[in-house]
Amino acid sequence: MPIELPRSLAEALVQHAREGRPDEVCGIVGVRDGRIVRLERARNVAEQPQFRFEIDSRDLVKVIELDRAGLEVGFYHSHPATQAYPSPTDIAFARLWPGALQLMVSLRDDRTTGPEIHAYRIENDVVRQEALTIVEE
Amino acid sequence: MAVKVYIPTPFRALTGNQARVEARPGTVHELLTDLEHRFPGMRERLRDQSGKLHPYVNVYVNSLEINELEGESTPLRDGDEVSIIPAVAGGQVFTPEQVERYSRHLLLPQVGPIGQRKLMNARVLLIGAGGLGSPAALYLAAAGVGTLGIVDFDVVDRTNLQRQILHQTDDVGKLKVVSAKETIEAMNPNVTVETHNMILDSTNALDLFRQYDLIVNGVDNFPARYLANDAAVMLGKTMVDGGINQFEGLVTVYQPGYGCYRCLYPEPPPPGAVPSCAEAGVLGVLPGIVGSMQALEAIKLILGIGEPLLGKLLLFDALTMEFRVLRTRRDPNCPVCGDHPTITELIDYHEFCGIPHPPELLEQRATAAGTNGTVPPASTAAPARAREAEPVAGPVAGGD
Repeated sequence: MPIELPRSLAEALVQHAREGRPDEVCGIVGVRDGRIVRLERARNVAEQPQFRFEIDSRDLVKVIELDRAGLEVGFYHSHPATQAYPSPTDIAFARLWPGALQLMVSLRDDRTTGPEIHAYRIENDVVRQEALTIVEE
Repeated sequence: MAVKVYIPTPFRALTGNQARVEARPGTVHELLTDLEHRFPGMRERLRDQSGKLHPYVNVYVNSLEINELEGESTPLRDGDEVSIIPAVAGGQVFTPEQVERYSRHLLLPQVGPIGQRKLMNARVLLIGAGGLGSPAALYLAAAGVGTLGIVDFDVVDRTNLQRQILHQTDDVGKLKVVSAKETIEAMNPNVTVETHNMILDSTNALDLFRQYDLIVNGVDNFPARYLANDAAVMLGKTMVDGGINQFEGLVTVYQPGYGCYRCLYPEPPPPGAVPSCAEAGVLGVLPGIVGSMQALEAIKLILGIGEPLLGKLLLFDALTMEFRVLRTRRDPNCPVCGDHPTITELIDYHEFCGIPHPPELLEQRATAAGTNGTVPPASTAAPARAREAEPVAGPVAGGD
């Protein structure tokens, strides 16, 4: 079953990425029954935000709220200039959240073919791409 | 009563899938030590080998991170909730292909990964895919500038091939922006090329310039040169300018505060007073040198290194191999960038320069080609075409 991303949330995700360009942006998502139902923006507190992200620990507590609401917790971040594929840094940090859903939005081709969003789960340094479908609400 | 501890999903394998466990009040340190004893494997997840809390593990008491409280000494009371949440971090880095491709840049302390990232995030607009635009585009693409916009309305002509190295013999008859995109993408697929197949004019220049960080000017006629200058000034964009004439070239950088083309040449020369490349000829390698210097200046500006040609006009004589640098300054009476500008919106630049409008020129070309309406290659076009009336000397204008 592909992960479902409602169009309004996909647009919000791209909007956040565009607002933040050239910095990376990041956030938290909540998933229910394979469908992304919440998208929470987070502050990027990395020292070099143009090619790093780190979710502000003050925003990370939203994880608890989503978890309490019975949602699976996942994350998103943008790649302003490179492809929507986990970088070696992404893979290394995924060890802290093995198997968590990771959405990546790439703005590399934003002005030509458009932004790209992909979903991954990374466990034991192995990247598994999840099918992702944009759904109308 | 006790303290509740929230266990995030990554740690639940250690707690037998429990999302919440209870612990006795005390300090955060005591609570963590208690958890480490109760749940084998927890210590390795929380602490490094020296016993320090791992920097990528956040511990919260009632939603406040303990670094904002008293660290591990933070006291806990009955009813408090402690949460342990691993950091979420990452970032785009270079692909192995990019590490190799840009390795000579990455070695330079003045570029390095951060500089290379700046290049990859940069958006540069090249006006013209001709003699100056060709080497500029190729070097900017090779350097890894992320997005190159190219505006040109022309088609590749056989007479271009002597110097316009974006275009190959097989490209004759092809739109220059298409030929340019193909050449650039073959050289560096990391670069996004945005093509603008149109005549730059007063109706579209501002919208186009607004999309880019930096303008590299390779125009070949006076109306376009004044237009590009005014649009850049009005938007506060930096423009790297270049010009060529037979054996001489020049390069300069216009930036708000450092003057503009109009500060140097408030008025265009009379139409036809300055011969074009098509009329006077040009040594093919000359635009190669000047356009490469424009790429160099653009890269320095993007990286923020060295001293770009701000307030300086670099003149190059290919026959004597002499470089001269003239100081220039902003004219407080400049009609565009002066203290009291009189030109605050784009004007009719063909009228300003006394040169026919592009639609009339295209009409002339179509007529010259017969009745099929196709656009003939430049060499057969009417000499009155704006790009062939290209001014290249004295009042430095030519670009080709």
